[in-house]
Amino acid sequence: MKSVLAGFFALALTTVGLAFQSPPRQVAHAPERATLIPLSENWRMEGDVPVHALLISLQGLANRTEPHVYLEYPKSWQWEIVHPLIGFLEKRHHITFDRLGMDDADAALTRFAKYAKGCVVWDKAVRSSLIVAFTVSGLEDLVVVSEDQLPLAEKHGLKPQVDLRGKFTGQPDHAIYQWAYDQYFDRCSRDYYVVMGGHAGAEMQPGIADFGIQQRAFFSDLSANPKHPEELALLKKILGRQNQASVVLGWHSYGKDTEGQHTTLVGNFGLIMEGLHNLPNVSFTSQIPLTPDFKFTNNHHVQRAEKLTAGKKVYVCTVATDAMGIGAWTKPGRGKIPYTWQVLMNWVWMNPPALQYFYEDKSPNDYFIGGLSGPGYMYPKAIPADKFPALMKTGRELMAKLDLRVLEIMDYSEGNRHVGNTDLPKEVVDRYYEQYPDVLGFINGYGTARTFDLRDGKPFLSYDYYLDVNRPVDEAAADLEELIQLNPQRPYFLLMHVRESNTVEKVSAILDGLTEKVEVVPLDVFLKLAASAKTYRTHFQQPTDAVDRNP
Amino acid sequence: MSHRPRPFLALLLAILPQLVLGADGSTLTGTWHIDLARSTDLSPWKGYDLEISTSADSVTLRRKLSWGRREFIDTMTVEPGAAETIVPVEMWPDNRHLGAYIGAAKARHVHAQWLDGHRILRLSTDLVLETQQGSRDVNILSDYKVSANGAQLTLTELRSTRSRPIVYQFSHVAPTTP
Repeated sequence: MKSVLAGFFALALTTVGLAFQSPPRQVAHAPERATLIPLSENWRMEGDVPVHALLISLQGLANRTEPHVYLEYPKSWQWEIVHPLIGFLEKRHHITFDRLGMDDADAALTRFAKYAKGCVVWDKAVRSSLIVAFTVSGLEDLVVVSEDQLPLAEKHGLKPQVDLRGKFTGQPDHAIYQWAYDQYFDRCSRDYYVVMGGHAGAEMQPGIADFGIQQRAFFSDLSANPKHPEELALLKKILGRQNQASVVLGWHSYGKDTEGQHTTLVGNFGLIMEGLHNLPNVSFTSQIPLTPDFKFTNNHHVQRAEKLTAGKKVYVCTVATDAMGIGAWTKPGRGKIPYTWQVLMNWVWMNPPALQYFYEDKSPNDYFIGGLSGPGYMYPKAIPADKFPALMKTGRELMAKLDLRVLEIMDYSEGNRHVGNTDLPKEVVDRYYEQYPDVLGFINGYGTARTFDLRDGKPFLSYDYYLDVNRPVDEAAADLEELIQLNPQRPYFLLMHVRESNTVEKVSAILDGLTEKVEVVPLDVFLKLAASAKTYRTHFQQPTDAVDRNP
Repeated sequence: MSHRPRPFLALLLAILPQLVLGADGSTLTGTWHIDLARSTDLSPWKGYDLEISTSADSVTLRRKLSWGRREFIDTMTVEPGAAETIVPVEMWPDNRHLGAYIGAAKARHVHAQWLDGHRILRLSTDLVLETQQGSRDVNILSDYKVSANGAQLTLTELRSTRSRPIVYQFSHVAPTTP
C-alpha cells in the first residue's frame, strides 16, 4: 500500500510541473519514528570530516526508499533551519526521534548497515578522492570510509568493494574526475549532478551529499574558470549530457572559480542551479509530504485586478533574499514591519516540511515572492533563448503551487554589486513579460540595478539600495536619505534589498532614523502603487554598459 | 644602554622629511592605505589604497578600491589653481549600493587648490549622477589633510546630496627597500 501511495505522490509532484524526469518520491505520511544523529562542529579534512562523510553516505543509502535518518547539524551550520525543523517535524508530523550520540558511527551502522553492500575507501591524502567516493557510494550502495574506519566497517559486515587509496596520487583534479567519468558517469542520474564545492582545501561541508547519493548523482568540484581549461572542458561535457532543465545541486568551489562563472555556465546549458553545498537532510525532507490540512497561502494585500493610487510621498519596500533558511527569519523583529521574503521555490519538492514551517510561521507582515530568476538560481542573460520557455514554465507552475505573484530576478553573468552591470537588455525583459503573464510585476537585482519598465499595469523595478550586512544603522539611514535627495519627484519608489543576515530589527531601526517620513509597504502594494505613477524612467541594459565576467 | 643617537640613525632622521616630500614640498606625496577601523564604513569596498604624486604644478591621485578579487582603479591629474580639469570616469564607485550611476557624459569637473602651505589639497568635483528619476547634479568637496607628523592622511568628503560627512583615515605606507 505504501509503495502505491509513494507512486501516487511522485506522480502528483510530476504534475506540479517539474521539468526534469524523476522528482524524488514521497511517502504517504511521515514515519512515526526516525533516527537523529548529532554532528560535531569540526568540518576539517583531518578532523571529523571522515566520520561525517561516513554518516552522510549512510544517510543517503538508508533514506533511499524511506526516510529513516535525520542529521542534526551543529548550531553554527549555515542552514540554521536544521534545528527549528526538528521541533516542527515532531509537532506537526508527529515524528519521534531516537537520538544517537554525537558522530556515533558505530551505533548508526548497527541500525543501518543493512542498507549498504559494502564500503568504498577514499584516500585521505587526496581530497578529491572523497568526492569520487560519493559518486561510487550512490551507484554501488557503499558506505564511504577512510582507512582508519575499515575495522569499524568490517565489524558491521561491510567489506571494501572499491578502494581509492593510492589511485590518484599526484594526479590533477581533471584527471581524477575523468577517471570517475569514464568509470561511472553512464550509470549516474541525468536529473541531478552535484558540484561538491563550497568550502575548499582543508575543510569540506558536504551537506547535500546524502541526497546526491540517494539519487545516484555524479559528484565533482570541477571548475568553471577558464583558468582551468581541462576541468572546464570536462564540466561542459557533464552538463551537456544532463537532461534538459535538470538540477545542478551544491555550490561552486571557493578554491577554483566564482559563483558568477559557475552559475553562468549552468545557465548556458539551460540547467537549474540549486544551492548550497551544505544544504542538509534533503534525502529525508524530500520524502515528507505536507500535512493533509495544509495549503500554501500567501498574505496577499491586493487583488490581481485591483488598482491603487500612489500619494506624493516616498514608498519603501524591503525584500530579503536567501533569508529563509540561512538568514533572518528566526532572528529578532520579524513581524514588526512589512517585509518581503524570497521563497526557495524548489523546496516544494526538496524540503516540503521546511516550506510548510515558514508558511505556517509567517506573521501578517510577511509576504512571499518567487525567485531567483525562475525555478532555482539562474542568470537569464546566460540562458539560451530556446531553453528559456521550458525553464520558465516550471517557474510559473511552482509559483502557482506556492501562491506567489511576484518574481525576483538576479543576473550576475556580466557584473556584480561592485563592477560590471546587473541589468537586463530589453529582449530578456520581453521574455519575462511573455512567460509570466499573471504576475503583479517583477523586481530585479541583488545589488542595485537600473532596469525599469511598466507594461499593462505590471511594473518591472530594480533595487535602488543594497543593505550590506555590516553597514552601520546611521550610515544606512544616511544612504536612504541620500537616495531620497537624489530622487526628488514624489512618489518615489525605493526598493531595498536586505542581505540575508540583517535582522528585521536592524532594518526597522534604519527606517525609524529617517528624517523624512516614508511609508513602508509590502511588495504587492508597492508594485500596484508603482503602476499608478510612473516616476521612474524606462531603462534597459545598454550595449555600452560595463561588463565584468566575475573572474 | 646608551641613549645617545647613533650617527646613521641621526642622519636618517634628519633626511626623512625630505624623503617623503613631493617635488613641490607637499607631505601628501606617497602611498596611503586605509585604516578601516577609524574610517566611515567603506561598503561596498573593503580596501582603499591611494597613491599621490606631485609636481610643481600638478597632483596625480591614483585610487584602488577593492573587495576580494573585485577592484576598481582610477587615476586623475589635476592642476591646483587652474580653473577646472575635466576627468573622464567609467563609473561612479563611491557608493555602489545606491541606485546612482555616472551620467552619460562620464566626466567629473574638478577644481583643485592647495591650502595651508601645501598641507591640504582641496578638490571641488561636479558630476552628474543618473537615478531612476533622471539626472541629478552633485558636488563633492574633498579635503586631503596630512597629520603633523606626516604619518596619517585624512580624507573628508562632503557630498551635496548626503547629510553625513564621509571621513576616511589612511596610514602612510613606507616605501619598500629594493
